[in-house]
Amino acid sequence: MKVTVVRSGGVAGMVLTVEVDAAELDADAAAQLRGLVDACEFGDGPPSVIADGFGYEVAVERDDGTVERSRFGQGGAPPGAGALASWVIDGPHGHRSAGR
Amino acid sequence: MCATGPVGGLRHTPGVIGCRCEIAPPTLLLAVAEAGDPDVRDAALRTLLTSAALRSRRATLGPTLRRLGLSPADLAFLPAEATAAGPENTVYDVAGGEEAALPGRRVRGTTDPPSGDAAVDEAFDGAAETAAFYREVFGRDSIDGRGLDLVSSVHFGRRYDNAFWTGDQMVYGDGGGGVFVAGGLTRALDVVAHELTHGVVQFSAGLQYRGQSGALNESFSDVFGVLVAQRAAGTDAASASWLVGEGTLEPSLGRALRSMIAPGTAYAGDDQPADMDSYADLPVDDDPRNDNGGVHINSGIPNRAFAEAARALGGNAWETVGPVWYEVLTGGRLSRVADFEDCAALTVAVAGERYGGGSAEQDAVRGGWEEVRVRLRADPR
Repeated sequence: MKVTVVRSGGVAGMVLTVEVDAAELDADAAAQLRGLVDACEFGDGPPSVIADGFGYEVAVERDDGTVERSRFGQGGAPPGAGALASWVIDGPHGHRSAGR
Repeated sequence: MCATGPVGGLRHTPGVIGCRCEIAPPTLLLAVAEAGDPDVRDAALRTLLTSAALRSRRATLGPTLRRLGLSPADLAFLPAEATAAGPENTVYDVAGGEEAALPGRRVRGTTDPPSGDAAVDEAFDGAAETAAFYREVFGRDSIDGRGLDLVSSVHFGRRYDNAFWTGDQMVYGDGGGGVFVAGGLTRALDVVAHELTHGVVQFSAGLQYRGQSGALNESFSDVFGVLVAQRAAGTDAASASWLVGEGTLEPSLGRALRSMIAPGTAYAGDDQPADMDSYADLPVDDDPRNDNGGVHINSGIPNRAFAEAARALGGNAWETVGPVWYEVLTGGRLSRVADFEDCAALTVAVAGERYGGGSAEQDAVRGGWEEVRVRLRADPR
C-alpha cells in the first residue's frame, strides 16, 4: 500500500508531494498507517475559502491496485483524512518532492 | 445606538429588533444566536452586533461569526471604531491548536510590553508596522479602513509551514516542517504584511481567489508586503532586492518565496512566469496542483510589472508607484473578477490622473506592463 499526499498553496505557493510505502515501514509504523487509512473517509471536502490556505490531495493505492482519493482545503478535511495527511507530511517516513 | 441597515445573512424583522443593547451579556446573546429559532436568532444577533461592548472587539468574534455564516464585512454598518492611537493590536497563543482553537490565549495587548516570546512579539510588531504603513502612507485606518482591531494568533499547529489571514485575523505557524525555517514566518515583515494585505484586498476590491483575479489578489499582497518592508528599512526601489520572504525558506530550497523583479528565480522549482509569453493556463478545479488556476504562479507577471515601473522611476516605491496601485485596489473601479488587462488599464489611467497624462510616472507604469507583455487597451475616453 502506498499513500501519497499533495499539499499546495500556502503563502509559499509551493506544491509538496510526500509518498509513504507501507512495504518500507517497520511493523509499528505500518500498523499506524493502516489504522489511519482504515479510519479515513475518502471523498472530497470543501476547498479552502481563505487566501493562502493549503489545498490537499490524499491518495491511497492498495496492493490490489485500487486507488481511493480525497481532495479538500485547509480546515475542510473529511473525517480521518486530516490525520492521515499530517502523519504522512509531518512524519519521518515519507519521500518528499517539491514541484507541480 | 441601534443598527437599522441591512446585515448580510440576516433577515430584517421589524419589531423584533430591540435597542437595549447593553442589557444582555454578550456570552448569553451568543448562545441565543447560535441556538435560537430564526426570529430569536436574528434579534439576538442584531443586538449582539450593535452592542457597544462587542463593537470594540468585533474581530475577536471571528470564530463565532464564521459559525453564523457571517464575516467582519457584515458588521460594516457599525460606526468606525478608530481612535487616535490606531486600532487595538492583540496577539494570542493558540499553543499548537488549529482552527477550532482560535484565537487561543491572549498574551499581549496594545499597551503591553514585549512578552519575551519571539513569535508573539514579531507578530505584534509586524501588525503594528503594517497598520502604520497604511495609516501614514495612504491614510487608511487599519485593514478595513474603519479601524478593525488587529488580531494575531501564533504557534498554530505543529511545525506548521504557513501563515494566513482567515478573513478576520492573522494566523502563524512556527515553521520548521521542512519548507520554512523555524520562526521564519513571523520574522519576515513582508510575509506578515502580505497576509494582512489579503485582508485589505478582502475589504476593498475583493478580488476573487481564482484565475487572473486571484493572481492579482496575490500580487497586491506581494506588492504591499514588500513596500511595508522597504519603508521600514528605508530601502529605495533601486537598491531593493524585490524578493518576497527572503531568508524564510529552508536554505536547501532557496533564498526566497518569490522574486518580483525576476519571477521564477527565487528557489529551485520556482515556476512563476516572468511575462505573458510564459503564462501558466491552469484550470480552476479541485486539484491542488492547479493552485486555483495559478494564483501563486501567474502573480509573477503583475508583480514584475510593478517592480519594473518602480525601478524605472527610482526613489521610494511606496511614494511613486505604490499610491497608484493603492488607488486601483481601493478606489472602487477594480472589479472583483478583474483580469491582468483590466488592472493594467486602470493603473495607467490612475497614474495619468495622479501625475498627469504623459508623465514619467504614467510612462513607467505603462512600460512595466509592456515589459511583461500584458496588452494595454486603448484608453476609451
